[in-house]
Amino acid sequence: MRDFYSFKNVYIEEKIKDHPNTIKILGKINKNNLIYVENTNTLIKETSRIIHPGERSQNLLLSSFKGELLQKCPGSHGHICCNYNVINQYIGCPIDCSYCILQSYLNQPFTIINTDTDTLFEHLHELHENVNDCKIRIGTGELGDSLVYDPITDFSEQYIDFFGKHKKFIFEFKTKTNFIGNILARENPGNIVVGFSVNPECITKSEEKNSTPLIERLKAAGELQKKGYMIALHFDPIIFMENWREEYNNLIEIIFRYVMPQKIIWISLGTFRYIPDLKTRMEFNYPDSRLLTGEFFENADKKFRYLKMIRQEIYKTIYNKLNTYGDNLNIYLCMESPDVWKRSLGKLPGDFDDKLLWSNPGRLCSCPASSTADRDMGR
Amino acid sequence: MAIELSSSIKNNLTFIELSDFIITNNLIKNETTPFNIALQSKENEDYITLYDNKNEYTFVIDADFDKGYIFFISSFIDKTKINPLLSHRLIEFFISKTDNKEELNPIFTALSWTLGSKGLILHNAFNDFSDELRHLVAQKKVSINEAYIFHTAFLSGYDPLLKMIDDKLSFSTKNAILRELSEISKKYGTGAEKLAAEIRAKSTDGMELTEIIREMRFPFQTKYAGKLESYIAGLTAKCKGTSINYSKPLEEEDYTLNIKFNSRSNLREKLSALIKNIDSGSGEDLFKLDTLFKDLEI
Repeated sequence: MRDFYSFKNVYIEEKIKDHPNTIKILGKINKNNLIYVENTNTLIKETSRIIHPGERSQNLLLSSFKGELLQKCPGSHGHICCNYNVINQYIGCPIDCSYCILQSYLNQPFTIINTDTDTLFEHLHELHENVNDCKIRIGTGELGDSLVYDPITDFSEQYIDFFGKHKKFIFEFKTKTNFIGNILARENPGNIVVGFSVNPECITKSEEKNSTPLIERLKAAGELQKKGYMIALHFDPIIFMENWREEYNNLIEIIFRYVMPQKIIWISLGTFRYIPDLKTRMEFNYPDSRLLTGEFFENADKKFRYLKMIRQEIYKTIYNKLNTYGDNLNIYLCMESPDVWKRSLGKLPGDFDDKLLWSNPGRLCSCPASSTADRDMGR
Repeated sequence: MAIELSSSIKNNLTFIELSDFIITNNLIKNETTPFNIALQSKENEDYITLYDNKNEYTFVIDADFDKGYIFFISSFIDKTKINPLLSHRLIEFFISKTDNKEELNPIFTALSWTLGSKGLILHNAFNDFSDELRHLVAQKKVSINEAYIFHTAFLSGYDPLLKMIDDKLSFSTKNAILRELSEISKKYGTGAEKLAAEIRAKSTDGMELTEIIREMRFPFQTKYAGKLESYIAGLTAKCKGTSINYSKPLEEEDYTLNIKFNSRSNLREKLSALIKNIDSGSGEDLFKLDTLFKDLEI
């Protein structure tokens, strides 16, 4: 695994140069060149270009939050959405997964860490005071890994402390690491989830270059469960390969050697899909990857997916296997149509038990954070 | 004839006219000798001279090499006429002379080359292409992007595959063939020689190549879309002007029937023929995805 905390260049926005979080991060990283910048928007505009993700993670920008602090995951037109609201705490990721959509989303030549968490928490506190009695699902795993930089930021401690006092929110760290030291050191306030991406080892080794090995991730998940935390598992992207059935069945068996099914809050399933631009980026950034040699069909939302009947069979197989470990597992599909839900799982999100926080997307609450859910449900 | 392009007179020149003249007569036609652009520098003097191979014109640019070279290209090279081979050579010359090898976007921009790290990857790979592949790119018969994907899939020994591609095929079809061959090779680990033999065993007709390769690359799509097409053809037989549209990704059980007719009796005839066709079939409803895919094994 490469050293995530050595940077060629570290850009620091003047505005947050004296922020305690900035000072702490600077004290923990290896850096060659410190550059102070007045206006990060200008810096991003002037330096943006097509870039290999590995190059992006060699440079760091410590910045203040810009724009909307809490955004709704855009989902996909005509597909059911899991109501995930995102905080862009980290923008960029050093884990270097061949299939990562950030290759298409980002073009700045540095990873961004927003250090003014106080600004974020003020905003979230205000939102919390103004929402109905409901649960809002929030995470930091959209534009970066939630924990890969935690050893230098310690932000997870602040997140646990904040969300522990704001129980209308449920917060999920999503990661491909086992960097859970800070979380284990805190008591679980009850509304913190740690989600782990999982895939067979043949995929984690070939397609997730700098990720923590699968077993180490699962061990971390088990430790968190013992400490009282709920965990989540994300089978995403599921790869349709020659021996997929055997690989995913084995994976599930391995998972339950390390984690307790009753302490899994939710499990997501999503087969590999891509937008045309991602394909172009992958071909150049990861020429050895074989993921794109699958047979894909362009769907109405302009994303390419495996044939519907293949996806359906994959979901059904994994769902049935998972269910042998417990009837009450909350399993959902990521960005799939209602028809695929029905054909694969035999039900729609609304058919789940009420205990599932995201179970009824669009009806969780009427707060601004969820206002676009109906659109994403395709209604 | 010499034109000095010092900063004080740059704004007074009519670059477009001059540019057309130079391009037509020298650079573009003489694409194999782009090094007619030469660098001359006198000791401690900061200027370069760029001249065409006939030595008819000399341009002295009062700037450092990077800026002068890019200024020359931007001013005198018609980007719409330049071919990738010449662009590649101009970039290579720039890289060999510049001190700042990290920042190549200005030269890429000047030549409408792909920007960023991808641009450099393409540039570096171009040298390794086989002569045949380089020729296809230079003649603009395939794109450099697809050529790169193709080259990286096989690395060498792929000329027999290239020679199978009929020259009469369109630019986009040739590109699609390169892409599909690359992906077949990567998926099944098949080398160029074996793949060429497999294709030849199916047909030696260059124009049939597209279908053969498509079938190898997309077996599910070919099989099930073909099955549905045949079914639809049976249902609409003897109903001229009748068609049934379906969702191409085979995702939805959502079909549209179009009937062209010119009178009430003509409509009745077509509807009757359709009903007859529906009733005379095997009774199997391939419009239902479960039925269409009932033999799917994965």
